[in-house]
Amino acid sequence: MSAEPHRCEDGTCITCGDVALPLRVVSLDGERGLALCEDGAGRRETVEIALVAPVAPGEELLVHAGTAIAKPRPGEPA
Amino acid sequence: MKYVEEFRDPALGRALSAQILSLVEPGRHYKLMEVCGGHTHTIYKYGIDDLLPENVELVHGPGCPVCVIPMGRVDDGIAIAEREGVIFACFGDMMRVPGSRGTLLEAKAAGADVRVVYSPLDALRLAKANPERDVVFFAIGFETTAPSTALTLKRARAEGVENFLCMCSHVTIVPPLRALLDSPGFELDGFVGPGHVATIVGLRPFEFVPAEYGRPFVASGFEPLDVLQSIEMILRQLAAGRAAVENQYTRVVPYEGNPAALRAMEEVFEPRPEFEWRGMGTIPESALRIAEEYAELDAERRYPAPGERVADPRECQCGEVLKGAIKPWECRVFGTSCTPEHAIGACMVSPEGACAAYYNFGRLARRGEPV
Repeated sequence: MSAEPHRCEDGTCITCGDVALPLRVVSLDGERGLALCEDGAGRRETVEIALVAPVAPGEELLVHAGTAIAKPRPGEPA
Repeated sequence: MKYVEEFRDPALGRALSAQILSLVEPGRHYKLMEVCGGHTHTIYKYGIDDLLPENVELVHGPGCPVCVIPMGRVDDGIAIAEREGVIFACFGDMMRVPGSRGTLLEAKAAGADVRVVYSPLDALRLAKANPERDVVFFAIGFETTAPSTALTLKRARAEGVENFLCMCSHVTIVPPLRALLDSPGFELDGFVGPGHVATIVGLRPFEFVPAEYGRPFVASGFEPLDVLQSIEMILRQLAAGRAAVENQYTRVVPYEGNPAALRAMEEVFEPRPEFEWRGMGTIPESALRIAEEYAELDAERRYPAPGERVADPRECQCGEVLKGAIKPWECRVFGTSCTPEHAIGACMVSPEGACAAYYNFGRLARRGEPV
């Protein structure tokens, strides 16, 4: 596993900023309700999936503070 | 990356900017508030206000979670962190928010075991790795973050982790918005609404904004085009003389919010009768505490803290900045004695704080003056 991602980089705490990141599900720990997810750069982290369950590998999740808060739906930018 | 690059497209940005220009009436001044600190950060990072007509003014709201935590609450956190045997875990920006006796970072330097975590799950992991010590998680944030804390407390109980405790300082967005709208002399034409809070609570809780106060409210995403489009949607409502709740962030925000998150919050938390907000005073039922049912996980029950109300520093004008009454550069200590390295007020600490956003992105001069 690569270094844990999305910590407080560049002096910015993304959790404090209400930022949520799109991450892709790599694998699931169904028993504990957790998913291993990664971002576009391949950085991985364990994510709580109770709010968006069920999820499947390959799905994209919007993650805030280690918890997936939504599954983004396709949308037009403008 | 999907959902990111397409929302930073410069051609679409220019088209939206032209659209906005066509919607504003010359001679009319428009004052819009972005509620969330994440939006403030986007606006200054991408220079969105430079794409707006001169008569469209953006003011910054109270939606930066660390900025609204009062000094007394930081003091309480430090008091718990200094206890023998405690590991105190908090999010990064919270480390540098000043209390009356310094910051958590300074408490750490003086010997307290304070650790930065990125999520409540990280704090739970710390507790499992240190079974002989109590790990106290300083939970802050709006409804975006509160479900994460609620789920982690449920997990701690389910997994039998007895040394994980939470000092709950979660706040809710509707009461401060109402307090702002009710404050004398408060003038505003519409809200760029907090998209991630709305992901959890849905849009219904914001219906009071148009219904009772006649102002448009548009739930917005966080990419630059999201924010520009939300401004366009508000101006379109104003041009048509209407006010409604609208959803710009449709790819994420459902009207009903996230029912599982709302259930978890309801199970684990209960409203505090009142909570003190930095610079805004005490607002009834504007924060959450741990419900009786989860009392054994409540750090405040195990470690009674001083709980003293501490006045903000006299020279600090964070309160007026948080209410959108003044711009950060109008504060008497902005950029002189108050900087991100040595913050006097919390708005200068978090990059989502309005003062830090101005300072970090070089917008030090008054509008119209050379920067």
